[in-house]
Amino acid sequence: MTENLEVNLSPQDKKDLDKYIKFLCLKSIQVIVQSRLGDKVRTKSKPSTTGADWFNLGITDVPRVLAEGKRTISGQLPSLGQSLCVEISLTTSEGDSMILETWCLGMNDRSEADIKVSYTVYNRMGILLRSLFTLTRVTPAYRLSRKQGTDFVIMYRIYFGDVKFEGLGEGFQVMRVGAVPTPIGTLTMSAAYRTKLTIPSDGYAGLQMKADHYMANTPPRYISRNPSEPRFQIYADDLPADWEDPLQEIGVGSCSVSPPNQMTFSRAATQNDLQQFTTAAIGEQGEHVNLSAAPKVGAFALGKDVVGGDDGKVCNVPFELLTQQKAEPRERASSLSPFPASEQTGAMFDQSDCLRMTSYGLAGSTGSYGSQLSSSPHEDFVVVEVQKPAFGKCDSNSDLGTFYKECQNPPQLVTFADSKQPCVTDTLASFSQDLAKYEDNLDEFDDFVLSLQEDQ
Amino acid sequence: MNARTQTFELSCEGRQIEEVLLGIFHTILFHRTTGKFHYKKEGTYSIGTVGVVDADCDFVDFTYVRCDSDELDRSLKREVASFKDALRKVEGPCEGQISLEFFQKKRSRWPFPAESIPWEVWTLKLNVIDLSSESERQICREKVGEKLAEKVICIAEAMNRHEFLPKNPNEPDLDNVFDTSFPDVQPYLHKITFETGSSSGANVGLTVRRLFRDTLAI
Repeated sequence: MTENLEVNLSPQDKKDLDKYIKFLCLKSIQVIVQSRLGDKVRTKSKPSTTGADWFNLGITDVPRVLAEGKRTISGQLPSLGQSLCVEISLTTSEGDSMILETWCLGMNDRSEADIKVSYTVYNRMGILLRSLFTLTRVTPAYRLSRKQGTDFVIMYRIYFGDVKFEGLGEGFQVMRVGAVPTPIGTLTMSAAYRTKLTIPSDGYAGLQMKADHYMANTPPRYISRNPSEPRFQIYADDLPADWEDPLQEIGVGSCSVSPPNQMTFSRAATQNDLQQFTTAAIGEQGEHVNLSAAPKVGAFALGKDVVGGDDGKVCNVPFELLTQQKAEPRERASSLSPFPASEQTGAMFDQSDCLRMTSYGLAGSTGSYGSQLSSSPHEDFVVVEVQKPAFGKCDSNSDLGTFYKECQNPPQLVTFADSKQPCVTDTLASFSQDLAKYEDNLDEFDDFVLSLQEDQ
Repeated sequence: MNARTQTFELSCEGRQIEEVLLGIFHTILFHRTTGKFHYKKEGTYSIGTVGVVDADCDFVDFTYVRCDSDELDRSLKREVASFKDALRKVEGPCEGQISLEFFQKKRSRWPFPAESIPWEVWTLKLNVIDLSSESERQICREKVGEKLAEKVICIAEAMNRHEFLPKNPNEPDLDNVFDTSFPDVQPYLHKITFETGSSSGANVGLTVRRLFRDTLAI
């Protein structure tokens, strides 16, 4: 092994080697991304060599992925400290996201001067790609990608830089795919993948809400839910200079190498025509955006008559307000103008949740729950007349509210108050110990059972 | 010359035997198969393309990659089925081992036949277990999938050590290195051999218990 021997390479060999490495990059990207499309791969063997298939392997180029790969590479090849990475992540319909794995093609300084570029290196690259084919099927992301659909989709991102291990959670694993020594260094391919596949229930954009989020003078925001549009989209140029990616906590937006306008997430979804999304959706600085799935229509929502029925709404109206008898004229609902599309700037809210809440007291009554947005939360709700609940107290203004509050604030269970709970691994280990113990004492147990039978 | 050897050991149910073996042997053959050679003038040759097929298992949570060659698939399935039949002749739990051996032929002087020289041998020792409940089968299905994934990682690691491979031959010697009987692809010459035997019945309960204990101890 020697230091960089690039100078000893003939110009032709150097040219060939660069070409091989470039196509190894492009084909590797195809193999990885296609394995996450959710479909099985099948390409035909060709006994005759009418066309040149790189590395003598049947790897179809998905045009969109090829374009993305070429755009990322654009003359750059893996080199010392500069690896080509393909990041695979999962995005749920609620907008939660986590990195599942990162495949990395890098180069180290261990070179082999005497190796034949046009034969040995090329063939070994073919072996490496074969290994990549087989190993892309064994990581947890493969099973997930086969199950993707309405609940979650698999996305990919290609960039040059370092693998962001911190985005893979605790207990991630690194798997070596293979290595190909060349006269200018050894090409190495590896994958780092997440082993804990549960999305934590907090700490993500879309799930966080600030206490003052629904300030009366803050216009509600929402994201366009037109299904024909890319589901979430933000343009890098629109971002403020000091924009901070809230998703960075989980590594999705961690792209320190690519300039912002190169940050691209692409959905690995359909077979030939991948729908591409540009970066994850974020509202204005500091605000968290809920990227919920298709618009939901609640029990009290009006149908087509309500203009802008797809829009999100504020739902933090105090519940007691609903029980107040100061009903406003119902006509108000229809007199308010819908929120103009041009003013739709952010994203928020799942209307079905507030509707679920209201339905306790409003069952059986008719009411309007349109998409009106105004500056005061008190005016956001159309108040409907509420019958006195069965078995309710005379003061119907408060009893339902009290009941609701009681439900909301139950006393803490003793179990959860105990801070010294054993962790899962300890519990599992104790199971094993118990099992082993019981096995050792099998005779004792058998005797015990026999003695019981005898007693009977 | 000593052949490289690699031995794997696995426990599985009777119905999983074929898929386990196909998963491992197809993965190996995928690495050890080239496109068809077409010799041209002056010793040069061009190489065909090896197609790629994803194959899902029915009884194991596992997908493996194989060459797109129905003939090669059929040939492998035939060998594996023979091994499975031999194993299942034995009542109850049993064990056996099956080897995939790559070799090259060396011409000998007349009247002696060509000598076969193995250069890589993959052996799989298989324990066949009986499971009584559906929950055990479900655990086994996942466990065997995980074990197969581990084996595939081992195979890839071995393949990328880039150890000895027979040189690509000139046209007259092609049949001494590659199996040219397949119409679409060209694997290195290989053969499959196996032997079976019954395992002691006393181990059955232990195997099942170990399966459960391993599951709980993850």
